[in-house]
Amino acid sequence: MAPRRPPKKRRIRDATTVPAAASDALLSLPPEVLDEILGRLDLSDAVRTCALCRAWRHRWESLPSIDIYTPIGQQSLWTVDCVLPRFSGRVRRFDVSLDELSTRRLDDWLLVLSPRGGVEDLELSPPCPYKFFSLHSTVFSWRRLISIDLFACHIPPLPPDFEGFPNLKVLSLANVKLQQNGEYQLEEIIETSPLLEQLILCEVCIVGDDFIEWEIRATNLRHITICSNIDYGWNFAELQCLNSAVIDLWEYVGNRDFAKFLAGLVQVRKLSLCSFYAPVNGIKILETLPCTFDNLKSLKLFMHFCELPPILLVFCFLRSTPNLEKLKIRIYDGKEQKIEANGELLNAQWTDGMCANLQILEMTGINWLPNEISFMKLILSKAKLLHKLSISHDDDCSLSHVDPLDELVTCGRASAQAQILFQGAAGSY
Amino acid sequence: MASPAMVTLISSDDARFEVTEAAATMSQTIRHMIEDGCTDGGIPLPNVPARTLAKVLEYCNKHAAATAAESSAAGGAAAGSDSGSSSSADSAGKDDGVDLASFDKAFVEVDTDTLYDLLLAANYLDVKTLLDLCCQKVADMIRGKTPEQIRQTFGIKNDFSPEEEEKIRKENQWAFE
Repeated sequence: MAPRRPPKKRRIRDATTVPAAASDALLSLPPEVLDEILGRLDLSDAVRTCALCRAWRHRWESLPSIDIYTPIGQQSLWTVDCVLPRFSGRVRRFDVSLDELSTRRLDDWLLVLSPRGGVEDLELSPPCPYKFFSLHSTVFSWRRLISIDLFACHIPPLPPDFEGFPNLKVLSLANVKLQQNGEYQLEEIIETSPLLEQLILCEVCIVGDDFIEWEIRATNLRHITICSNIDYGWNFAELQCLNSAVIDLWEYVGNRDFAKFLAGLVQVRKLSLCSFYAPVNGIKILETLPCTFDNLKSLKLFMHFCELPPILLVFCFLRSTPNLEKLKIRIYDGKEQKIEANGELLNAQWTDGMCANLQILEMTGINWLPNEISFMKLILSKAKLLHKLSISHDDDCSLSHVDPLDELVTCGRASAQAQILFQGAAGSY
Repeated sequence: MASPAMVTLISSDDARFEVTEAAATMSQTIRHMIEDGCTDGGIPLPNVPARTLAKVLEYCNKHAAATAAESSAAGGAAAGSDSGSSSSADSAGKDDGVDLASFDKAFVEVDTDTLYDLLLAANYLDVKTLLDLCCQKVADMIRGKTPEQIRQTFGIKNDFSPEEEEKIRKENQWAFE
């Protein structure tokens, strides 16, 4: 190629005059191979190749796609403002920690990314202590999204032309705020994401006082987490593939039928449930479940043995989970026994077939309360397949474990192979 | 069991290699040639010299043998009625995995010129796992290095003036921190 400019011009630093011919063997590799190599690097490693020599100066800019990832503490503003104008291709992942400056630029960035249409992973969160940021509604047109993870975010209403997320597998919303009737918005997003496998709704806040009942309808959903102080009227429908669920609803019995709510999770194999909250006025204690959880193998309850409702809830589950193999009880918020639930009372709750497949009972953070000991003795005396009872006490528990442990070791066991393992203090939760 | 089908590969410098069809067809390029019936008198590979082809075939033989061992172990386990045979098959498969990983690691401990040759051959022959292995190796040689270290590793000549280089670093400062 004949130089278009006199040689002396090349000493003036103008990158566009650099000859395209490769200067080294690495750069001479077929472009698709070099793309594959550079694509395996973090963006900063790939961008640093611009300082190798002239021929490498703009090489990274022609990559078919890049991932923009700025961990907490890194200056997102510099990174994104440096990369986005130079790289015109596809940004596959946009995972940005939003400090105050970058929060102001966020709309601009999202609007630059929108027409490129390639983002699969979107993750936005401010660092701690966090301030809420507002999401631009252009994100609702990103049809290639596979994963959305938002934290401390105002979510705008859906635009009228919203068509769903045909590829979305993961939706995680934590500490987000939605406009009035946001329940319907969530319902629509979930319903129009047919591949959704994982749904996490943690401390979602919806403006307005209307109580709206709505349905989480997701035929491919494998995992769901719902943590909330307020009952936003969620119900479950058609969760045929559900594998695991984490449910932490304050005032879990709410004003609605909690048993019916739980029945929506009937397919679940692994359930983690917070049931230590005191039932509010006028709420009936859960005594039966309207269905049998045939698939449930592992149940974890955050509860205590101080009052009747959480104790009865355990039996309520044991009656309806014929295939349960693992029961984990994490003592929470319960150091003072307010009622006595002795062996006689507990035994009255027992029905045939309970714990027929139970192999492991884990009691974590106990306080050696008489009720706790009675419960363990009952399980030891009834569960024929039990392998292991594992016990740890609360970090602040001052009672000696010697006597109660001795009582457990010497009590009658239904299973000859049942071992009792004492683990000491439970450690931090 | 009948002896395995063999094919003949011919390098760019006319060396002939006899390999099993299972090993040869790890290359999608060769697989297509065999499917198209272009195997009479050997398969010419005009882009791959003997030295590189020998190395690529070392990789393919090893991996094809591991795959065969794995599938026969799995077959044996399925046929076996007691749980003992299945657990021994599991452990055999696991050993192969460890073995293959260390083979792969050692396989790409070569000079950069050999690595380029392997990349070109794996790309042309379309041996996906080998291409991945070599790309990952080069990426690992770049990751976390300063431009000067990368230049040294790959023999890249710096044609920037110190001022130019300083300017480029400043423009992309976030990547150099």
